[in-house]
Amino acid sequence: MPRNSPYLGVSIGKDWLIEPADLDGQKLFAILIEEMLRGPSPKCRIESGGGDWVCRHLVPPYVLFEWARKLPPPLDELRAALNMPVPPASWPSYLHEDNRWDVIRSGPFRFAVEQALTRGQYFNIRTPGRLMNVLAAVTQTFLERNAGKNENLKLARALYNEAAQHEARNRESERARQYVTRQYEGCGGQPPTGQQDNTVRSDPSGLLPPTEEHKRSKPLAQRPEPWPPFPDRLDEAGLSQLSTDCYRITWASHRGPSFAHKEENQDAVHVRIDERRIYFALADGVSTSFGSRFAAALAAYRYCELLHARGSTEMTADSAVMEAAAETQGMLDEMLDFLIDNPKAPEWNVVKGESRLENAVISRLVENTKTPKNRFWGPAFATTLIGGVLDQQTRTSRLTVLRIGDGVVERALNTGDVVTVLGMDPEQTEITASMSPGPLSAKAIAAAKPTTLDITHSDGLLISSDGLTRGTDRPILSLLREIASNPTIGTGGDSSRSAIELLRLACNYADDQFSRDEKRQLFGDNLSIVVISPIRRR
Amino acid sequence: MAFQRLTTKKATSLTPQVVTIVVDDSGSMSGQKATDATKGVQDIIITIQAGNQGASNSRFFVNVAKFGSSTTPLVEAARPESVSLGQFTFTGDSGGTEMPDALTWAARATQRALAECRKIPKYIEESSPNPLVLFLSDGANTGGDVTPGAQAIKSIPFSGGNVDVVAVGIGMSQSDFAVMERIASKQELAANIDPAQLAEFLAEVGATLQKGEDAENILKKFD
Repeated sequence: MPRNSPYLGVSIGKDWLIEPADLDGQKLFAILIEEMLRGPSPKCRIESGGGDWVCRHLVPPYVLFEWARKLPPPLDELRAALNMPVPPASWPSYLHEDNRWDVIRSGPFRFAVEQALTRGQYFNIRTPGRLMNVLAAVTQTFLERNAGKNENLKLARALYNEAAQHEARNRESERARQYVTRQYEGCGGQPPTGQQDNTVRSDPSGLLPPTEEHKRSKPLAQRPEPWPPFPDRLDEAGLSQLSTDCYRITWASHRGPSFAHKEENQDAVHVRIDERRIYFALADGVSTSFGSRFAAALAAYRYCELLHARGSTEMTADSAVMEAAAETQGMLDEMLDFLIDNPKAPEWNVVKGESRLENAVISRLVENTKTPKNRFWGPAFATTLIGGVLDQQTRTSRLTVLRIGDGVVERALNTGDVVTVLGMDPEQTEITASMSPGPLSAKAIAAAKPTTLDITHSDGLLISSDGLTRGTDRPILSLLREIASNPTIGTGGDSSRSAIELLRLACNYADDQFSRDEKRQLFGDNLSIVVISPIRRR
Repeated sequence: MAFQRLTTKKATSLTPQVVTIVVDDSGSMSGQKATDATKGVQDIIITIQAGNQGASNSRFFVNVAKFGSSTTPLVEAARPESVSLGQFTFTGDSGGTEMPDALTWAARATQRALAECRKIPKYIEESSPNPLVLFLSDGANTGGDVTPGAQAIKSIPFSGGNVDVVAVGIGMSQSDFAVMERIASKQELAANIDPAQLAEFLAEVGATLQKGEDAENILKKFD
């Protein structure tokens, strides 16, 4: 996260209650803190400082955190239990002990839970675990005795205005959606979903049949959720590093060497982990496509999150990588509909990035994406995508990866050798497939095939955009090792550098080469990598 | 970011391409031809603007003029992001067909745009795509000899190759079309197309620029 970003996350020990990348979680947190500070009655209101009164009325964050990790209650159960004299037997013992429940369920904690249950929907927080962690962050804030060192409170205050605007916007959208649904229910019709008749009726009573004019109109498309955490991105800030039992993962995205004159970074990377899997996605926005920086960020984030969500299901990795791709493309479709339907939406400013195209041009490119008429214009919001999952099994780890467009995967053997798993074909440089809104991309994604590979626990992997293949045909890992003077990159040497350091070194090297000879144009593009290195046991 | 196609001479920030479009706006162009020219030129501009995205420097420099009894420059040595679609409207109300004047303007504008390219630090002229001049007319030349103007364009020094002049007659009579062959930088870069093909032809121009292909490719489908 950039240094000046307000999104710093909330942690408990070495774990995150709300990750820096979870912008929605942090915004809901900010709203709850503010509500509790100015609660509607003294019974609900609270002040920071951790006095006895506060301690008796709040559930400690570690209790909520553990509850979220193990077996958080369904939201309906949570709501209902607030009115019960005794908490359900399966709930943490802390709530049963010392007759606390009565105090807890009638004080500010109850108010916080009610607010979270009601308002979580506007921040796309609908799962018990996530909600519980936000509540843990809230109680942690008020149990901090030293107000001057209360970083949570500072975070909440920094984010409150933005969070309130976010909530107001989503509340309005939800109200509009409910209104449209009521219109359908009023005339016994179907709600406006899928391919059904999307008629909006102007008769608020819902009793009059729709007119022909109304039948021609359709409800405005809603903003697809979850909207990605953009423009604040971990991959560009150099703070992207995670570890599992077996692997250390570092990832980053960079604008590229100066000589290449790239106006903005149109690459994006996102990584998630769980107990035994690493999920990754790297997107490379098509430079001549409007909105490609945003599209890459959305695709990488959404695809990786969808894969992560499927990790806990029985679905095979092959199916998961395909389904997540189709769903990500569906979100791009929804985003396009939303933008076309809402030409004044503030989201336009975000998706435009550094584009200096006039609105008339943008409008024609976007319309041509939805309904292709000019075959020479590529789709707007187009990006390549390479993503997948590395599943740590007993003896080996299984890589399942899907590539739409281009991208590179290299395997670092523990002998030091590098094997290209998916390479760039210098003879076939035209992008034949991309992730974008519109019918052409949907077809290309349906035709894509995942690649599967078993590697040993002592092998590493590098996933890269095509930038590091520009001007060279050597393996990327070999080049990076040479540039960084570190032969252990990808194989887990203790001196392994972070991904952002490697990219900065590569850029400096490329600029130096160019300054010596203008024809030596190495890495002349945006650059992105994910390096997965085995952790060497001593 | 990914790219569309690798060619040895693709327009980039360090190897930008100069594109000059000269459109006949005389009375005979009024009606459907002017409408098609407007849409076609606007589409080329969109293609160029789209192809210019993602670069901090311009990949193209654009000149556009319409001509009739006189030549009206619409943009000169312009960076794509600085031009607006509304600037390119043709109505066929500019009078006669004074080709020599238009060619003289094209030569001057192309040189001016090349001068802009040469100001770019580390500009690599020998790796840049040939400047392209697209000259469109549907009627007989009402001016003097086109040879000096055509020669002025062809003799513009360009170390990456030469200036390609594509001269396109729009449903011209065969006798009138001879002048287009003198304007084109090579015989194969002169073509007489059916007026109904004008929109498709201009779309092909845009595609050729986008892909970084040779000027000959523009006319392949219209031989």
